[in-house]
Amino acid sequence: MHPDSRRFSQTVTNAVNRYLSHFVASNPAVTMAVLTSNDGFEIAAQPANRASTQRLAAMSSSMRALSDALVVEAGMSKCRTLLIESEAGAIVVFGIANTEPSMSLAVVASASNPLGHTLWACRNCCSLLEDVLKSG
Amino acid sequence: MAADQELKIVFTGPMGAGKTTAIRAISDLPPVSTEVINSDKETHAKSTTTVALDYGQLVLDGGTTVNLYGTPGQERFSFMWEILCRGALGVVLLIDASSETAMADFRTFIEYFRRIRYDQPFVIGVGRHLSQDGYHLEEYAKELSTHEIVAPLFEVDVRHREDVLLLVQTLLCVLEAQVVEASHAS
Repeated sequence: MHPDSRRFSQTVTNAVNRYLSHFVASNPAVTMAVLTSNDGFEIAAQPANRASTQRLAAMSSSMRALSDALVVEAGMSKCRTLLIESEAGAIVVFGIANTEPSMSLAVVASASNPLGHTLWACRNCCSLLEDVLKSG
Repeated sequence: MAADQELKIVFTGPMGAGKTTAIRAISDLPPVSTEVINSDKETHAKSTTTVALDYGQLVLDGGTTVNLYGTPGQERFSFMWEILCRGALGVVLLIDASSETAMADFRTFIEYFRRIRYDQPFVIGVGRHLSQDGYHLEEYAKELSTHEIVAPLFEVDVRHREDVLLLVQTLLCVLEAQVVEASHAS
């Protein structure tokens, strides 16, 4: 758990957990969603209290940083979203704008739903998280 | 080492030991870096931290290309240690002697990288050794001998190109000596 998670007020922490919980519950294809700091700490996760979410937080932050380096190498400005597809599903890492510390949402989704639908739901969840974290 | 040969070595060590700085000091190419803002100042005061890898390249006088990979320092990124060690010929372990946890870090990295490969060739660079409270080189050497590891140990300042080159060239000598030894044994 990130030491900075104590920094957020209880109201913000509750709102983040509520949004993540609602996001996972209303998107059956989503099996895991982890809000992570860019230096690899889990800030919040659904399902909560699993060792695998901490590992996903660290791995997704590494992948995000590598994607940033690749995007710079290709002469583009900044990586916004990272999408990894497998036969069984997809992993998406969305950058969340204007937060302190910088954060991403890592989502694991099975192939049971169209990927476009999952991406759309992820984007909506990120907007909500961005609003609540800015206020925190 | 033969000309036009390509080698891979890994720089590792705890956060703040100077892995990114070392690769920057000797890379012939602009290094690839994956540094982000460090949000855990309670553990380490450093402003940034590497979360995936550093990558640089050094071409030696004989034409041998040495690919230089730096690992993240924190154990939560240990999955990267294993990934980056694939195909690597040896490890440069950097230790910050001024850190309170220097000896524990030393043990952790020696043990972990030996689990990845039991006969892992190491070269050790101990930085910031002028700190009065820090361990002396002999104490690191003693620790190596308790693990039955024979590895060259140097005091270094990784901001200095010559110091980092010394570590790399020593590692290459160790590797060459192993090849000669193996050919004599067969």
